[in-house]
Amino acid sequence: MEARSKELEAVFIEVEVDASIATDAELARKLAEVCPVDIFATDDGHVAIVRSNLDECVLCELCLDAAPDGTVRVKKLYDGTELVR
Amino acid sequence: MSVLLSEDFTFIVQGITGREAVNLTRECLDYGSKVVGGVTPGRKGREVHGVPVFDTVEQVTEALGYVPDGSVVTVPPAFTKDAVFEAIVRGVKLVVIVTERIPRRDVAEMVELADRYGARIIGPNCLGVIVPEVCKMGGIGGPAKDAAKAYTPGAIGVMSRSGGMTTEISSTLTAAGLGQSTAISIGGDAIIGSTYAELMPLFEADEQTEGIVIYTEPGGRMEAQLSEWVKENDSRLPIVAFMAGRFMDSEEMKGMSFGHAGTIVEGKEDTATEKIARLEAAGIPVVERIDEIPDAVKDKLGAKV
Amino acid sequence: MGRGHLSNLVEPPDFRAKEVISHTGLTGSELTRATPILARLARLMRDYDMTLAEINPLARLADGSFVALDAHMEMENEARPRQRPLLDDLGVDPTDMREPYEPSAFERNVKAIDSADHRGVIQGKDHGFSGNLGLVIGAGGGSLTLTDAVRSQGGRPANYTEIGGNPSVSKACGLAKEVLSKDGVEKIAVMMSIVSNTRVDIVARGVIKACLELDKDPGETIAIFRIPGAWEEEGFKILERYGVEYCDRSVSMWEAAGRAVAKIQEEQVAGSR
Repeated sequence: MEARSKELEAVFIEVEVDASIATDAELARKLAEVCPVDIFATDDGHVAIVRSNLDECVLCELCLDAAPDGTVRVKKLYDGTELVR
Repeated sequence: MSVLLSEDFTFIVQGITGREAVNLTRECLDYGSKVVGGVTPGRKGREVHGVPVFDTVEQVTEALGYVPDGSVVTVPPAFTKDAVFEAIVRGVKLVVIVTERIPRRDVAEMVELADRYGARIIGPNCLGVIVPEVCKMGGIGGPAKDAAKAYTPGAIGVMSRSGGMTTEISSTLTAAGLGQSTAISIGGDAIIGSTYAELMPLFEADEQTEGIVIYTEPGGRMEAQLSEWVKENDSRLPIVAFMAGRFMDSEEMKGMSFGHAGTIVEGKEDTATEKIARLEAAGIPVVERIDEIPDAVKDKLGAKV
Repeated sequence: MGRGHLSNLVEPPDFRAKEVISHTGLTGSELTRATPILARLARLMRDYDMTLAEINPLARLADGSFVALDAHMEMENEARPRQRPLLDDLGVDPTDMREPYEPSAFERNVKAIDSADHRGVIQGKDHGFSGNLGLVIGAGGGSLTLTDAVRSQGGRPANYTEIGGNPSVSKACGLAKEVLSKDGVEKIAVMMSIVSNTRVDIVARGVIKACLELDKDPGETIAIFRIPGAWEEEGFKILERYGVEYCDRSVSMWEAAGRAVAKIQEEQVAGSR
């Protein structure tokens, strides 16, 4: 039996970045640096989210520490709560 | 009292700047252990959770003005022998080796050197030692709050070839109201620094300890040694054993190693069946389930009085 | 018989070999001629990280000299990196692990998933296993204990696994998918002894994701989830969301294994009606 397999993204975790910081090149670099599982990347000076890594989030909150309060939200899709400063 | 560790026990971490070592240091400090220094060659002057880092063990002892009681060694396998030699030659008397996959010859050399210097090695391939609410040396039990959940002070000594099962067994004892005097993850390799039989005299001499629980696996001669020790020394301590890996007795599993490097059935002596028979012949009951351990211990303790 | 222990700290000296051979009663030119053979064998064992070095039989020729007619040597795996030059001489490929049997597709796939990602360690074996209950279990001692517990209660494991060292979600997912893709496996039991480094929530995500990616219902597919320890509160929230039966440390490893076995047996009874 050959099982059919697909690759799912963001089953457990979604990350939202406020529009006010999305084009901050310095912050984009910082977020990419602090995230231990590479959810953040820089894309031409923009904050980019690497969707294939979202479910690897370890809830360390380092991204929340790095960004201005309220601008990054980590949503736990399995219980409807979110981490935010 | 307890064995190996006490309230004033001081130790260092060799390889302290590694990822796992950083966690382990945090956990030990949180538990109240006295981590007095760390060594990573070339990283002198740094700090890990407030613990000063040095290039050599010699520098640590110079800075402290005394030789620390112990060292937790967590460096890559190719460098472990040198790190352990360094600790022993500088006078450290208890070396816990966390590292896995160290070639046997290196381990044999370390154990021989330790013997010559009157030092003791625990491991390799182990999680360390814990005296509940007193001192934790190594990753055993994990973060301080998790370790506190599983380990409570009491009268049972625990020795285990599996680090994780040390915690599972202690947690089961704790839930049944049986605390631990000292729990030791002795390591899963074919050659280790301290076997059950080599640690028994310490527990025997410890007033707090009234009984022993061991976790064992197929492979090696350690259980046979323990049986001989018990017979020859007329031990005051009742022992209860749990044997994992009974499934490895089947013919098709021969020569395959499971779980730990030392867990392999090569000859009849290595099988679970043979080991269980030996242990039971020495008066050590071998239970089939972890959750049967507390009652078996209580039975033994009751029978003794 | 002659027997002797050698120091590992120094090169095995000739005189130790001589002593051991003299214990057998050999003397004269036989002793002096046999001594270098044993001394070299001892050095070879030490220098090349052998776990066994045996000459059998050793023959004496008419002129009094000794020759080895056959020999058997075993080198330990941990020493392979530093013994590469000898292995190259012998034509032993770095990928040839010299297992006592040919690795299965399952074993090869698990190994590939493990080596592709440095986070955590997973191992899988199915040589000698042919049951219907997939095991996603850990760590070393826990896996041995749980495999016994399943078998002792009438369960038939489809495989053996070890999870350790805090694997990533994708690694745990990859392992569970491999187990679920094995012929005849309908359900998996996800169990470990109390974890302190590996995270409960990360493994929970991995195994649930494996079910979803294979279009299976996690609540139906995961017979039991018993991993107590680090981040368990977070893990249990995830398991609840997907309707997976889970338990904490108050349920023993034996009981958890028993529940998984009972579930798969109930299903078979229902299926045969």
